[in-house]
Amino acid sequence: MKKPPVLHDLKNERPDLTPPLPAVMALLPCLFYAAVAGSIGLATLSVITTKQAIAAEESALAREREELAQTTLIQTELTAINDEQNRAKEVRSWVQTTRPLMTMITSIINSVKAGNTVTSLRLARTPENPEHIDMTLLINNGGSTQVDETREALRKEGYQPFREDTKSSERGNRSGDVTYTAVFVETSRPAN
Amino acid sequence: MKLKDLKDVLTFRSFRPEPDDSGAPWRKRFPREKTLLLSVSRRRVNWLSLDKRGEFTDAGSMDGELKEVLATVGPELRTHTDTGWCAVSLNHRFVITLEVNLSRRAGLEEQLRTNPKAALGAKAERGKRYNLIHNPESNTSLLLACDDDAIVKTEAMLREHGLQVGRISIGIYGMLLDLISQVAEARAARAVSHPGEPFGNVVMVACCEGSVVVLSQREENWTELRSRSDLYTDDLAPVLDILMPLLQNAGPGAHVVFMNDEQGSNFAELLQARSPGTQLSEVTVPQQLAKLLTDQ
Repeated sequence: MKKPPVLHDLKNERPDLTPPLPAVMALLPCLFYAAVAGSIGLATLSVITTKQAIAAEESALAREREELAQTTLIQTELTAINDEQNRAKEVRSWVQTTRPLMTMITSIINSVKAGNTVTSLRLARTPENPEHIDMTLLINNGGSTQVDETREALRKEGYQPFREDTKSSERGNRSGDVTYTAVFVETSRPAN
Repeated sequence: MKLKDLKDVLTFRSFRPEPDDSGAPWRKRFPREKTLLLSVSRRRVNWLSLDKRGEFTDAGSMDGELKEVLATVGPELRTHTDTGWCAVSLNHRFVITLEVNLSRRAGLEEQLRTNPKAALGAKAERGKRYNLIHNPESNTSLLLACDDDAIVKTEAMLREHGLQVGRISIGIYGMLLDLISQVAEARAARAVSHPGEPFGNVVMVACCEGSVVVLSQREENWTELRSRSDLYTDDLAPVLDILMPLLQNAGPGAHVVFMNDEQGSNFAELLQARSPGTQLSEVTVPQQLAKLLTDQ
């Protein structure tokens, strides 16, 4: 005779007693807990990722601010350089305006032939175009021949004329009074 | 669906038997939960806790009727169980008899719980609760009858002190069934090892907190049974007065198989003094009654 699997019980059985649920159904609460754990894990991951994204954004903003600061600094430096350059240009212009004209004057005087006289010589430069030298030359007894001599002497010294104008009381005057006006630009001196 | 049902599913409570489900073993009903075991005799109450690890702790006893004991140590007993559930072994107000030719129709055991009169006919008495076990190899049956009043009062007294009865059993009846199954196993094993040889006569003796039941078995047949409650206190000598007539009827060479509610009794010495040469096998294990209440 086999032993009964369960000891006898003499108390009255409760009428609404329910049998245990099948063990396989225990998967449901297991899945529930797994889902809760998964949700917590995902939420944690999400929070961590969000924090990382916020940190990256802050870092990028900081970099942007730094770049902007550097750009501003560079622009300030560029402005300073431009100012400096402008000042240098002004100095250069000033230097060019103060370039000595003695060479030019000497060439003009040396080009005057014996018997001819220079009544007036005017050389002028403007700050706007300091490389342009306005010349007005009045010649007695030389005429256009003397003008040619003088122009040639200046060319040899590296001065190139343009906007020339020769005025004379007589047409085709090659030996009388003449007024010569021109603008000279200093170029490289031609090789001899 | 109630909120409690949902909570029970989420705590896996729904996948275990209910605490008062008599169809489930005690340990399956209360895994990892401390419960109280009570052994209630007419003039003494013993208690023991089954803790969360499945070990027995907090043993104690007190002389007196259950009502007096509960009035004294009721609150302490309540602390020995997590949720108030307890298993009770009632050691008095029962009778075990040997019956012949009882009906063995299907569903009789269930009918015995709900309508004993229909199951037992004229043998049924009013105000009794019954349990029955048949000898599968003969026409004999063991019938346990317990006073309904004793069970109802015991439940009510315990309830007053916050204790809920998950099981109420007659400990000695359970021990006797255990003895019968062990003898049947030994007989089956011997039939295999010594085919054709007779097993011989066996006298089974179960003692539990002052109660005794003696069953005589000749080969596969149960022949005689004697049952007494409140027979002894600590000295087992009165048990022999019940045993000796059955032992003599069983004849020479009868084997005595003994089970007590706890190890360490002097039954062997007493039997040798009264009946020298009698073969005795004691099958008591430590905390026998408590193990019986919780293992099945």
